[in-house]
Amino acid sequence: MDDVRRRTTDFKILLVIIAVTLLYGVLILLTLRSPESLGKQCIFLMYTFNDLYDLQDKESKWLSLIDKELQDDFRLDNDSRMISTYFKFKNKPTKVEFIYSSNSVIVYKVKNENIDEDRLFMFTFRVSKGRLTSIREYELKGVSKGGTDII
Amino acid sequence: MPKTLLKLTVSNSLLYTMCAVAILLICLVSYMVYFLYTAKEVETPSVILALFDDLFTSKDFNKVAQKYFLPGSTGGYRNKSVLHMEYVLGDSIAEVSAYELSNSEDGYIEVTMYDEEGSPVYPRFGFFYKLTEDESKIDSYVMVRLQPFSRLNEEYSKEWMM
Repeated sequence: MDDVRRRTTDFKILLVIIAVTLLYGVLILLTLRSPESLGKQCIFLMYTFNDLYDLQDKESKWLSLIDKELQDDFRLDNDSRMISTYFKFKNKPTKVEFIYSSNSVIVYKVKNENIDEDRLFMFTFRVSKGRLTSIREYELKGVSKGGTDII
Repeated sequence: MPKTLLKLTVSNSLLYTMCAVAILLICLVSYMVYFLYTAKEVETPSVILALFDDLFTSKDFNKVAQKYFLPGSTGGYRNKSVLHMEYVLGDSIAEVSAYELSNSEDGYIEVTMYDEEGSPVYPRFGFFYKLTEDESKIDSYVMVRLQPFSRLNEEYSKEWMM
């Protein structure tokens, strides 16, 4: 009987270990995002807002997706970024529409009453250790297309 | 069957199931981490490399269009590609003596052009492409100049401001 009791206890311990492993795996799967979805989420957070207060509320969320060394470039108190980007929105509600996305390039439009709806913007990036790095932001100029629509 | 033995049998089958699920899960997580979270080197198709080699060597938009772009059903597609290259690259192509792919992924490349002194000719340009099935020609494309948001950025060009 002692042997059976000991084996039962061993099984219970094993069951707990496996259950914890399973739980850990599920948690990783739930939090793991592809580079594409990480990039899209960052753009969505940076350029979807009702007003400046809404934007301030979201700042910590997009910064958490960006590599620590780059975070200063994307803070709202960065004057250069504020002038080159957010001033153009004139504190009006803004949304993004994704046009093309891959694991390192995302093309999008900004829906804001002060921005021409035909303008296209691009966000290029890499992902390292689960965060966005090598980020570059552009406006696409002289867009020239041939053949079937790619973007 | 004694109660303890019955309990042990149930635990045993549950244990095996959980073991199998745990192994599957670990494999799935490893796969996702490896394939989704690892930056992959993408080989640029030879036709794209040949296109830009030819373009920056000959600087002849017509020749390049004939060689690398599909004629299109109406015959206007090639002509359009000539106009597009002229528009996007414009006069800047005259001063280009070298180029470098600064970002390459499946269906897209970014190109930095350099003048004779080795200085970059900004802004860079991006080229989205779709090749024909045999990968010998360009089926569809989008060509753009990449203008940074900030005027303080060294890549910012007043020429492409509007």
